[in-house]
Amino acid sequence: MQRRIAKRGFLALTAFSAAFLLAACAPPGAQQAEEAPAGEGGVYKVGLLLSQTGFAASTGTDLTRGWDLYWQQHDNTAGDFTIESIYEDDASEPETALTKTQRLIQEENVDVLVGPILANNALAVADYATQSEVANLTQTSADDLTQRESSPYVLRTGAFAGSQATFAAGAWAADEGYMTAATICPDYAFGWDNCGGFASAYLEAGGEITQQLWYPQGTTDLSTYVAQLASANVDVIFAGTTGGTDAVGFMQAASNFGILDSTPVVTGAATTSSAPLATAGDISLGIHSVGYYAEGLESDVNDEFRAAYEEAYDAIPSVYASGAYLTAQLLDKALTEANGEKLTGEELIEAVKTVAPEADDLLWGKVSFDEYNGVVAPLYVRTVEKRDDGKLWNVVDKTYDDVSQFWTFEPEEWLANPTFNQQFTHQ
Amino acid sequence: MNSLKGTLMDEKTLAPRTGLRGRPLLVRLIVIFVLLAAALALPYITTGYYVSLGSLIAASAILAASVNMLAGDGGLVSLGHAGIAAAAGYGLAWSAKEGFELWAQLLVALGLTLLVSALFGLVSMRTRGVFFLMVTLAAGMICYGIAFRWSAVTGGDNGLSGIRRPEAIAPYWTFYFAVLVIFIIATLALYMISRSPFGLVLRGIRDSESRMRSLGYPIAAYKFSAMMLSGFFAGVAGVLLVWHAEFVSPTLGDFIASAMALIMVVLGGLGTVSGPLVGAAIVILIQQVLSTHFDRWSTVLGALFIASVIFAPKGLVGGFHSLVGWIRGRLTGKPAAPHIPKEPKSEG
Repeated sequence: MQRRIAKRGFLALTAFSAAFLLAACAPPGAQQAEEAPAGEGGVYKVGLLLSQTGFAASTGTDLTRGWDLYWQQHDNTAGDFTIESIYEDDASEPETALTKTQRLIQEENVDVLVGPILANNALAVADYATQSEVANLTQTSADDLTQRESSPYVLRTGAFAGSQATFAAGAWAADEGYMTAATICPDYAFGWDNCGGFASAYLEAGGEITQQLWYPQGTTDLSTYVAQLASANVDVIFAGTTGGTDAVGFMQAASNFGILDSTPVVTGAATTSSAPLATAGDISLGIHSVGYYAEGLESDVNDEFRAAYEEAYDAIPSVYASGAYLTAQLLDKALTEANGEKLTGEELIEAVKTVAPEADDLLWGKVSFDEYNGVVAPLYVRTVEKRDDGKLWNVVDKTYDDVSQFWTFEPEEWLANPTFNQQFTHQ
Repeated sequence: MNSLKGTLMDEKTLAPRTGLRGRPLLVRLIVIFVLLAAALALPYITTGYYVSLGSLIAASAILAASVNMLAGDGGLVSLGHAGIAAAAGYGLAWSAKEGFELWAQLLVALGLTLLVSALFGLVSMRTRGVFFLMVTLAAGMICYGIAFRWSAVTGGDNGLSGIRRPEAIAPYWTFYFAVLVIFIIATLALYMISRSPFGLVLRGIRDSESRMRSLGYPIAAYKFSAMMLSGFFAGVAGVLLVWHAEFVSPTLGDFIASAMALIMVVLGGLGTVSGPLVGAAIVILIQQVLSTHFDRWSTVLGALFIASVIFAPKGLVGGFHSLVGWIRGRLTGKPAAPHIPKEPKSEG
């Protein structure tokens, strides 16, 4: 019996090896037919890689809305081109993100990739886009993508978390005269970056951090941590939650322990985004946060954007929606400037970097890019207030202009240090 | 050993389990050769994207097959095998980033695979049933946790990117052929293990641990060895998955990845030779292709899984065999071929 099976297996193996050798001789036809037909009658294909399912699904909805709204307003036209948007779901998971990227690049022959938003997805996708020489306007908090892994094909037109946004929180806390601070962040890359940005800017400005708390990923009840903050006796508290259930958990616990009444609290933009605000309710009034966008930002372009957004979707636009809208604005301007030339790859990245500083009607304000392709933009310190119609939103308290991913530090020194982690918590 | 063979080999349960015996050799060979021809022709008739999907399916099928070996023969359902695959993947990725030669990269991956498999084996070798499941789940989560938290080495949540395949398999189509060859070798190897005296003892342990113990078999040692063998194939899958993505992050080893491997096995057919491949193909096509057109792909996957458990408890492969038997019975006017008999309930 055994021998028969072994013999059969051997037979199959031999036959297969023979077939394999025959097959491998000729290069596959796909190799030659890979070249994309250039300039298909003025259609410019944009592949959007979004998290439409999985734990980050809400960001996918917001990004789609912001993106769609812009192109509806502009009749799907940018310069001489008709914009064709192709949406793909990355299921909040890098393996899927990569397969979908392959589909967008090889099957759809997209001219540019927009997204994704999750750090690990973005790193996988950017690497593939770079190898395929396709431009990638990424929306991620993965700092390394525009630092140690910087690529000429990848431009961060949005960075919704990470250390860059929270520099302003540290600077603001110091500017307000708060001498001592405590921080609370989730204990993984997202939280290390958030707290890292705050701590770097705050310590640089002369503040002192007396306590740093880290909670495990997925923690929803933060009361044991917040209880420690209540007895920390500091002038200001920084909280870098992910904007999920931990954001609501933090606000509720901080309210229960009386912290929100006694101590100023500043957070990342995610903590006071619309979903946690809706759940936490009025206790969140007066919480400060920092972000590239504020719903209550007073500018012509934002008034128009917000009104159109609320009419179309019956919701207040989030930072994510604003990022997608900004990316659409930048792409439109770059293609309009190009005078009919179809910009792709490095050329597109360079064009966006050129048009951005000249534009005066961008949703985030004055935006430019540094030599590592990171975004340089104003950061808004925002406060939660109640609008006339009873909805909670963020209004601008103070603006820090031209904040880069390196804050006031030297890029070379910054890049020589490791990325933020449990041990390396500030520059 | 002889007495065991005598009793087990005579039992009918063995024959239809693989679904291979009891059908003419010719039909079987024709099916295998048609499938092989189709697999070989794939790069010539379709585009790079679908060929890459083929690589992903074959690599995932190896992981599923490693779970299938334990679950099908040993009755040991593991919910942590993605952790072993991740250990191998990280071993390869880390050493590649450190600039090691290819052989050294593979050695690091192999070493980590064996180390982690041994740890899995040590903690699980005295357990069975739900306890085995819980222990492997915990061990898998520890692997995930290390990848997630030890950011200085693993890159934490962001993972390690910029890993490149060796030159010979750098083009997508040579990589596909390489994965295909490895998949076929792995399948044959697992088939032979399953048919070997070792596989028989495993099945004996599954069916009645106490009887096997009273016959003098060292149960724990057999379970440990089975875990080492299974872990090796999970490690091979891990290396191939990392080479496929040229990237590794903790999601390679998370609970969902382990659960997906198990779903592939159950969906395709627990204990069958082709089950892992069928299951992997279905799960990946739903996850990667259907999701392009349909947002509720996970609902489809869930519904299919439930339907398969209710209507085809032996998975799609087992269900297909029953169906073929039924149709053949109808055509020839004979009563339908005997349905796959139920496995005897274990515990003695």
